[in-house]
Amino acid sequence: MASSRNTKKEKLGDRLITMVIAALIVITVVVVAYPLWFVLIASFSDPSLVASGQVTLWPRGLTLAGYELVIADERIWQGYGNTILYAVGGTTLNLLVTLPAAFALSRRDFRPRRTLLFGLVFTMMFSGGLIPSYILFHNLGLLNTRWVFILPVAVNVFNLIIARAFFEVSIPEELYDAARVDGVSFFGFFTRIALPLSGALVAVIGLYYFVQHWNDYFTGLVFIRDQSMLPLQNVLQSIILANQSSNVREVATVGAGGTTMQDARELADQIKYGVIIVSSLPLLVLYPFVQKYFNKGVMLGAVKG
Amino acid sequence: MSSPRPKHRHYSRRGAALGGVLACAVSLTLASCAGSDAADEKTDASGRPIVQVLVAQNPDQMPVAEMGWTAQVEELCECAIEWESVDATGFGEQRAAMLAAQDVPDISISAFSVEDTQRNPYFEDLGTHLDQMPNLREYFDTVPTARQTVATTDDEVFSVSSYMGAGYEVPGRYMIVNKTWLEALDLEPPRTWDELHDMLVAFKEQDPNGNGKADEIPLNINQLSIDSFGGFASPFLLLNSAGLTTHFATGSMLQGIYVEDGEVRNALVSEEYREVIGFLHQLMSEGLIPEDALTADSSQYSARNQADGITPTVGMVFGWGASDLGTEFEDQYISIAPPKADESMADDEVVWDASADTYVFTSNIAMSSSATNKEAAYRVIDALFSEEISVQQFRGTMPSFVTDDGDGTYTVTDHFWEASNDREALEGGFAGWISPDITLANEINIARLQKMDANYQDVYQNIDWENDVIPPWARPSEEDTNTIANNATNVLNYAMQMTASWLQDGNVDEQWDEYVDQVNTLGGTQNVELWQQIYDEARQK
Amino acid sequence: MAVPLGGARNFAPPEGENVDVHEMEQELSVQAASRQSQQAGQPFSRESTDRPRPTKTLVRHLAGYWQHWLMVLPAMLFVLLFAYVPMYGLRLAVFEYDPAEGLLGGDFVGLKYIQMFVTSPLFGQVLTNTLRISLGTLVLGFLAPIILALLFNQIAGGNTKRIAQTITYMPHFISVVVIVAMINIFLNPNTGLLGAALGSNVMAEPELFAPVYWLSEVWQHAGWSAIIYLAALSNVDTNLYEAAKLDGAGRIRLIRHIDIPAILPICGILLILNLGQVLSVSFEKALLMQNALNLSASEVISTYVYRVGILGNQFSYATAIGLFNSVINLTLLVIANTIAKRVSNTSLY
Repeated sequence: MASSRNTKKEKLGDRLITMVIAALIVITVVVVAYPLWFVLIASFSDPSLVASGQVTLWPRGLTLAGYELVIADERIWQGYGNTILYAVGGTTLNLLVTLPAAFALSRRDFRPRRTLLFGLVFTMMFSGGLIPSYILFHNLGLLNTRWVFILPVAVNVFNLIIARAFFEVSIPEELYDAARVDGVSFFGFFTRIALPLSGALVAVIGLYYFVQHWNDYFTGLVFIRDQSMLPLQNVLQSIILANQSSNVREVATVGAGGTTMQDARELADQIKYGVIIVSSLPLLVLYPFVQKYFNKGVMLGAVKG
Repeated sequence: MSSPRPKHRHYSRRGAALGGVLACAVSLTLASCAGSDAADEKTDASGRPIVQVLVAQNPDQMPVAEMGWTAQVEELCECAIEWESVDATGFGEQRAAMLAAQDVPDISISAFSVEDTQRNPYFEDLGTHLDQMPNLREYFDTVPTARQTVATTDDEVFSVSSYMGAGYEVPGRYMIVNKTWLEALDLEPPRTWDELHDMLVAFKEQDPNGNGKADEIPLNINQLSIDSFGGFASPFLLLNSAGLTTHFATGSMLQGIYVEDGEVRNALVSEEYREVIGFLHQLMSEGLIPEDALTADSSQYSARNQADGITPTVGMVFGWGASDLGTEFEDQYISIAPPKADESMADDEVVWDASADTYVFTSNIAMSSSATNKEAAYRVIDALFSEEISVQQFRGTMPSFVTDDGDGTYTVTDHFWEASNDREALEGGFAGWISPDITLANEINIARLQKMDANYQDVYQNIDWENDVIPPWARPSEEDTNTIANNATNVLNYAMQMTASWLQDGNVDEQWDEYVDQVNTLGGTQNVELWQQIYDEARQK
Repeated sequence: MAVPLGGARNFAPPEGENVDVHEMEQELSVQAASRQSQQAGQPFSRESTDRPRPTKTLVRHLAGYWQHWLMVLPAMLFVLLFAYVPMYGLRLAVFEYDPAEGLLGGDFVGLKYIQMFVTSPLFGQVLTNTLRISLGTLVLGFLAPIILALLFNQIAGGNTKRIAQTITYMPHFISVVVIVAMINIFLNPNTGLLGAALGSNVMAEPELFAPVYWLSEVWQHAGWSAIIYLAALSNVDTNLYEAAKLDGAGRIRLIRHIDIPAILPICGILLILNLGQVLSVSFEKALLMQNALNLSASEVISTYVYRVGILGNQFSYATAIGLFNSVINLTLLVIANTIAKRVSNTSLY
């Protein structure tokens, strides 16, 4: 039974801590939020003013030209469609392949798991590089097809390891033992008991995979020649980089008469910020849905100690 | 409640069967791999041979397949062409992969460099098939350096560079100054570095743009390039003022290698370089060059040049032309001939960049040595190099973008200059040649360049093309190319760091000797020796 | 805790131990054999049943675990095909790349390129820079998301929490090109918000390159990396909080005794994984942030490989350097994992 004097001290101490925590949170959010705000207002501002640092709190030289350009370009919409296809299709395959494997590897009684896990981790360290992969895809007929966005990245070892750790911690052996008594098979246990209890994990891993697909710029860059298959990131980056490169393509841009190198560069700056907004908007909308799965204390009651 | 558990044996059999099926499926997929390429098809539905053409384009151009003149090419070659466009800016990695995987298309335009085609043995030697490509032969006969620039030491031609026409035989880099300011301050273009210095001081102090604010930037430079020596808007063009002939469009100069009186040297350890650094530091310390010029990125550099589009703030730059300052200010800027570093120099010692021999050559075309329909491919190349198609590739489909006025004259329409994303032209990325006998009228770019170039005609007379210029076809051999490149990387890394710190803090004289020793140790001496051999060989051609 | 099971297992493994079913089964069959021989009145000798029968054990294992195998198989096949098959490219580290012969040809040159790298004048600088940048990123990038997650977990309101989280993870989606452009704008000594306040040209100082890199990394990715911790924290039973509060625990104690243990396993895993990336500094960001003044601190292994490997087309050299990287990364990872296994319950494998 704590004396009233102690409770008061603790209450005061606790309140102080709460204030400190609140202050830290506010500071963090503001520090992170400002540059984001900057991106937003820069996308509506005159690019020369932006580059010379005259855009601070509000848009200046208000212009929609950047957005007009981006939206009017039909490649953008094609890119959007492609990206959604690859992200949704890819993530589905990812989850179907990764989650069962992660679960099986999380069971401590599964003896080969150490070797298998090491085999997986090894691939994170060592890679043959771009060219053998290119040759492999060439032989498999994956080059210049949509499958190249989905199949080679079916398993991301990092995600798999996180999922495994999660399963190991949150789905104890006793649960399976209890279920076994009822005649549930291992696979049944996975689908009917473990997965529903791991809503948060599935949401997070699904989100990770989805974003990895969404941000993937490299695949389209190297393995695709048909421009109609390119995802959004490639379309956007090519618009920016085309107008920014000052060395190699100097001659081609020089031949481009009415528009000069300067105009091209200005164009790139203009759309640089708008591009971020256009390409990340869907993801921002997605997260609240994912967060819904972070329920508290769902696991409880399944196992009594 | 619970059903009796099935026997283990039953499960394991089923499991094994499932596993076996899975394994079979996978291995079948793998086995079926051995590339069933569509490229193996010889003819299309109507019996015409198929030729694949890959074009690396700037992404703001329309895909080549949609350009009107491509139909004419197909007619001339009597084949079916599969045009493929890729993004030139991002193509670097894919290029490396394609070369290593030996997966090159029948014909590629602007995709591979001359070095690529010489080092990888999958390309056709076009030089031995000129009978089938008379237009190409005419090109080589008319423009003497055309074949020389791309041929190997054994005179094999694995790729051909396009020629933009006599109007583009310019270095494409100049000293550009604000004429309005000169007039406002009643100044003459400077003839020496001292006068240049005074001009810049006047720009800074006397408010030539008349807006009452001290916002003038007398000299704007871009940050120093680390990958190569020189680069866009590089102030090292001042080396020419000191008498060193630069050649920034060629690979040798990009490593700092130049030649004087037949002797190959390293510009990075030359006396002229020391002079230039000293001068630039002086300008920087007096605030005549922005203090953050060395760290500002190219967006910030351009933003300064263009200011707010109404009142110019930049006095002088090194660049391609007046339009570097933006189209609003274009008319206010002129080029000025390079001033002498020192009053004591003779007038004919001042030179300028010799890139006029290289700048006019642009993108390359190459043909795969394992193309399925070679005869058709030759016809495609020949068609591309015909006069009419070359002009259309460069300036757009006739007659909406360029008109044929007969007698070797073509007029570029205003429509071409006004259109942006729907120009049906590859422009600088084309595969063809504009003969020196052709006149292109209403060619705004040539007009721009000529305007800049006019003030330089005198100084070009001072260039000793024989002994002071490394020919653009001087290229390292396969054995040496890696050594040279690695040395150059190490040298540039060190030299650019030192240069940047000297520009900012001075001390170039005190640290010079140590710097020279270090550069030589890092591979500078070895590179000079290797390049001397290359130069001597190239001179034999 | 004994839970009655049917079938082969007669006892439940104590919590947390890596139990080997085979050993259990073998022990059981030994016991069964000894019982048998007792019944038959014969002396029992262990040796007769100790002889290993690999086929029978394998079949037994597959029988008991075939579902596990089936669940693991697709992932393994994908990894085998797309990660292991291309590994033959690593041979270029010790074979000279010859365009005429492709990836499978070339002369054996042994450690020539590794040696070239290690004796190159830039090696020391490049290695030091890489280590400095990545260790700082590792430490800060490890701690920041944890602190962020613990802080956010304290927010009670659903909407506030969601908004705060959304804001902090948004920077993750900004491309590196824009990030560096913003860094340049903000740090500009004349016109930048931070640059003007700091008074000097931050991008011109080699000593400040690493801190700028670290802080921008944390700013960009902390919010996103915190998500996994938040997910772990969401799994914590609210009753625990209630119980602890009844015992008089204040916020700090709650965090220390409930929150932190809840995320500790994930922390461990992520730490080990990050240690395995020590020599991998993303080249794009470093390349964009480089300029002639800070080059002595900003040239890292990946930008060096980019210059000689990609720009210079030296595949063998680039592969050799990559191999050098990977070996060091792997060593660190193995060490970290071994320590983790000794010290705690969680490890990578």
